[in-house]
Amino acid sequence: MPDLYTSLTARYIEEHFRGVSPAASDVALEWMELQLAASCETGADERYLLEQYLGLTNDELQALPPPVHAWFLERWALAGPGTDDPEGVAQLGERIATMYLLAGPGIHQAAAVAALLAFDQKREQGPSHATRIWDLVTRIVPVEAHATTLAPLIEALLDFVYLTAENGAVLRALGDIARRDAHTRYALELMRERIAMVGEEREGPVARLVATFEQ
Amino acid sequence: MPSRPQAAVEHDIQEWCITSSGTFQKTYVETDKVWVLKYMPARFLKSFLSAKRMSISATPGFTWGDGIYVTPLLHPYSTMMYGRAGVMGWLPWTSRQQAYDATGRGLDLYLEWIQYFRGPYKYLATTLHANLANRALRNAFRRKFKIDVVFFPPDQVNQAYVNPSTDRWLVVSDWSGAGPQAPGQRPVQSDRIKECEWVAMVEEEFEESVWKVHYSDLFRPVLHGTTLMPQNPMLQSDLRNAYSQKRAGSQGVVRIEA
Repeated sequence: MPDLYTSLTARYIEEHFRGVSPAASDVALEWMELQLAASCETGADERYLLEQYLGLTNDELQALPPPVHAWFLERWALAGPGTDDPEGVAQLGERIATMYLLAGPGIHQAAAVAALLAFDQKREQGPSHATRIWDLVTRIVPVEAHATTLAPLIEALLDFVYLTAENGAVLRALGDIARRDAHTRYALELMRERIAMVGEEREGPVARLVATFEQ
Repeated sequence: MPSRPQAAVEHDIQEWCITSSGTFQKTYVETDKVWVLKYMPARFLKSFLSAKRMSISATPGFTWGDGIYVTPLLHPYSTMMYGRAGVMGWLPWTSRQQAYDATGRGLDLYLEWIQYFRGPYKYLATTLHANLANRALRNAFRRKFKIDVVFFPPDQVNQAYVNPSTDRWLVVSDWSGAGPQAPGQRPVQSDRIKECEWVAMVEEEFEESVWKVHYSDLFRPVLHGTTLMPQNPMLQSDLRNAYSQKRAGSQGVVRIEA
């Protein structure tokens, strides 16, 4: 890993997420937070770390364990893109979408989706950044693996619809995904299953969305 | 597959929030304040004293997700195995705020609710990433139902200082700066607990068991033998006095003896 600071941070996160007691991990992470805040003037702050993480090579990223990916992607979900430049936001969004694939299956995939939804907050037009994952998967993953690779994306969006009180942006993202799914029908099937599972009525948010694609 | 519609479960959760808030108000609220304590390792005392704010815990293994973990002043011994420096402050409380009693029915409702979320529930039940999934679900639960405080029984114990059946620990929510879909918070310093002061120094040493469930106290058995000493009934008022004096500019702290 070329950047020693990022490498050490990654090791630090892993060590403290896995080891000792939660209380000890917590004070250690708190200490790291203070260091990051204090490093603002030197440029080695949170934004620096987040960008270095996305700048790692694919091999380096694949060598990192899931808690490290979860930490970084969650920070992206908290911080947002940090720029208004559409091209810059698009590049970061594309890299986070890549992380969804590179880091392998796990709860950090939901963090990648959350990060892309955070990028949507400043977006006034165009499809959700979450569609980048769909487009990437359909472009580079073999067709026979599409359904299983895309399922965590769709499940995460459905979870966010029902988990959060403010779900307008998530429903828009789900709608954008469903439009791409017109022929494949991976998403609509999972949406119908979820409607049945939660016992959603015809006027419920996902039921109304599905109805628009069934007409 | 859950046995009833999610809306029905969520209705019951909202009802439980009302019941819980009533219990919380009666048990812990003094007019419009909840007095709370937090024990921290002495090496963090200096940084605490520079800002006098409590931090948001954001490590996945915590019992109820991200938040400020404190004990009501009513149970002043209960969490002192976590550090030798005791700090005290107060949480403002109005009738608009919500508490959640995470015992009995409260726990059953939470366990029923999480089954609707296939993403994290799958990882919780079938992988070694349970801590990460648990954290995501606990945070989402508290955010969805706008829960300000979860009160729950201790899940780490010590036979002399912790009473799991009567003591309750609190996690106070602070989602400031976290977008609606952010899975968690940063371990930043929070303004939710007001006017924090260092009030106590613990004269006891603890050792965590291998399974992290039990803490052994090391000084008390040597000083007093195997008999459990009665706790000092004046400790609460001593801490209140120390706090008032600190606010008035005095330097003294209460020594909590083994």
